[in-house]
Amino acid sequence: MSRFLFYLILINMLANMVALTPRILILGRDSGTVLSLILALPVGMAITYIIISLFTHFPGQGLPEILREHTPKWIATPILLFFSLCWYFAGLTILIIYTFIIIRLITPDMSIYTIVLTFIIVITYGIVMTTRNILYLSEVILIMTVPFIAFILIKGYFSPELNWDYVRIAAMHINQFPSYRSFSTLLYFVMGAANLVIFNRYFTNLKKPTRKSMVLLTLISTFIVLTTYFLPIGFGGFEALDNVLYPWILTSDSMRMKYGIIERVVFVFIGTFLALAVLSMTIIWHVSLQLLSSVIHFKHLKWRKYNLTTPLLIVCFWAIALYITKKITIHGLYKSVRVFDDFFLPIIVFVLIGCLLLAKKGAASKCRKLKKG
Amino acid sequence: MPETKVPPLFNELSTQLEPTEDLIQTPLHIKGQHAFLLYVKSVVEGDKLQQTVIRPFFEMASEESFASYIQSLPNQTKIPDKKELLINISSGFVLIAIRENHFLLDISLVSNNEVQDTMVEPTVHGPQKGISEDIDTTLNLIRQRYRKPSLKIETIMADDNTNRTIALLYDDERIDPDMLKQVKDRLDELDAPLIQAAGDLQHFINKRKFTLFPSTLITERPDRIVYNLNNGKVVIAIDGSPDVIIAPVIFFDFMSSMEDNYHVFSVTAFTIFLRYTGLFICLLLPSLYVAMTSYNPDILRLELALTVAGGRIGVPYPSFIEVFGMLFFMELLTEASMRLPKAVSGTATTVGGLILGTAATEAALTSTIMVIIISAVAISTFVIPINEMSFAIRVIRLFLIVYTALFGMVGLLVGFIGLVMLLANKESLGVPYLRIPWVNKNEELRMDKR
Repeated sequence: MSRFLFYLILINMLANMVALTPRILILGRDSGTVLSLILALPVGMAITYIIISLFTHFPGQGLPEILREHTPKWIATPILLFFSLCWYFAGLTILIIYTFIIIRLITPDMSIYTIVLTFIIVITYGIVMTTRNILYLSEVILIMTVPFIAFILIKGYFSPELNWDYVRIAAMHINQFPSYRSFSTLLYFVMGAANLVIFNRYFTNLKKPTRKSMVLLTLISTFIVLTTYFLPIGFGGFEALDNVLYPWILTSDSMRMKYGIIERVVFVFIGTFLALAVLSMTIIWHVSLQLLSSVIHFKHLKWRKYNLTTPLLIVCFWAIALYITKKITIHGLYKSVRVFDDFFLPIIVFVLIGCLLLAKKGAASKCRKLKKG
Repeated sequence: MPETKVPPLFNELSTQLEPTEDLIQTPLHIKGQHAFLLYVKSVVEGDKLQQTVIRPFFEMASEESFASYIQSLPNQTKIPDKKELLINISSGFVLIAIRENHFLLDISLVSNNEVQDTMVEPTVHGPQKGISEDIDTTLNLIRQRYRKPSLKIETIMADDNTNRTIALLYDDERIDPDMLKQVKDRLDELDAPLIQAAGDLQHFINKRKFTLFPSTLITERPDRIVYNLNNGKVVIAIDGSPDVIIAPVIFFDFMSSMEDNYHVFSVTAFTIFLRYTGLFICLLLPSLYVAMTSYNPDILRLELALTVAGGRIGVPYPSFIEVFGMLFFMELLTEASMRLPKAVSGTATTVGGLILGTAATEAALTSTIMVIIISAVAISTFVIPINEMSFAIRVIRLFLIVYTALFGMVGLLVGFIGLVMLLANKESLGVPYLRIPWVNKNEELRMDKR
């Protein structure tokens, strides 16, 4: 498995580690999260495996190219449009949650517009970068952030404040029937491979994942998923986390660097994950933009020799983002993310796999025809 | 004795070259043997001309034997078309006519062919001599160090107004042919009125006008040249410049010194660590000061935050003005000490340093901590081994300070990521700038190919 594919999956997990996933998981802690955890991991890995190995049949092609080649336009267009909107929404949730975190913890007196403006310039530049360079970018950012993440996790696991009894209590709830909500949230958590719909354009030599790489991926995801769920419980207690909006911020704020220049780990933590969030947003919105511009293309919207479709789409992206970020409350955000994970995520997975299977069949029959002819 | 006529080509050329004081057109004759010479005196080596052409002429028995003697000389070249012939003559070639035959000899006088000391990238170990301003000497130095038949040298006449020679060096076995073709295309398309040095040429090769980071590397060290040739890169040398261009490069090339290869592992690892720390310090520290004092003093531990705030008591303006002011004077100081003659620059730095260091704090125009930060930044800027990169970083950090002044701590972080994006989105002849040179390069390259 190409290391860049690994990064895509990893970044999706890490960026969501702080965002909404832990709260949704912890809210369902006495209604079956533990068993959903155990279920969602193998299912997620299986889906990852299926998606990657289906994409190996179309080297160097993104979903728009595959659909254009193998399906009629009236199927392709709505699917691409739907996907692009879903990806847009996924990126938007990250933007909103991090804007909320920043306004809560770092600059409380800054207006929401200013905070979103901070992201606009950089992320706009990021999403119009070429797909290949985004992959290189993700590699560099991961290299810079992983030491910090490792530091925080090690500090967390060896902290005397971590009470393993709470973790054991949480683990005891394994006998409950798995909840669909936790399951789908976790599925989204490990679904970074879906970004292949665009990024496959640059994997011209994608191979089926080997057993070794699958095992490695499973181990890493298991570790991250378990950490995401159990570490906050170990710090905050099993009962008390009900009213905590950002369990991981609370967790990292429970740690202290006694001799450090920066005393509260939470700032290191926010900085690190903010970098990952910007990267993740760049990746997700890049996919969304590419999908959208494969469907919408205004031929006559031109200024000198530049086509203005993409800038127009980006302006729309940000206008909507600004509006929603200003209007939405944290509660509304949780609600809409739940709806997204519960209903849209399975649709995305099924449609994606279905399309690829159909296209593969079509490609095979075409090939046979060519051979016969 | 019948007067032999001056060949028509000579008349034609000399009318085109005139009026030039140093143009010489002499007939040689002895006992019915005739030959004509045409050259420009100031660029031709007189002694060598006398030794290899004029004296043998008077010693030879016949015109035929003189002609065959001339033909056998190693510096004899084919006669090109008229336009190029004129260029050749004005760059030190001698045109000889014996009856109807014309010969062209390269007897040019080169006075800038001494090998230069390494001034820009000095090292403790490793070669102490750089390359030369004369291209032939440079090529000689490189060939002497890289003795492989697969080292190819192609020379191109620059299409500008001075007609300098540009040489393209590469190892045939190691280079990527696509990349080579790209370089050649760029050189062919070269359309500039005047190319004086490697730095000049680099801009025209890069094509883009607005760039923040250098996308080719300029070096004066022969060991770096050989190292890069061995890694399959192209080296472009231009006559008259003591540096060569190396392409394509990635960011990490700019952060490596040749000395890294000459030390033991622990020392190398430590210096590399120092270098990257220096990079981050000189890039981030001024912005961090702005963010920490004006936006988020709570990030620092309490004692430190109090010290920083206490140091700023009496400073009459916000921190970003302080940072900009001090940085500005620091840059002025750097620039001044670089341009001044060596005798004066010492004074400039001392006076400037004293003023910046002591007087400014005593007048409560800046805090003491700011002075420490500025000097730390100044020192760590010089740690970056390749000058162009450290210049680029000097410019870049200003943008970062602006972004931080506008958006605070988050602005610093996001702006830094934006910087990494700028780097990641840059390409040097098709090679991504931020490619991390891992071990299994081949597999990765296959991913790159579209």
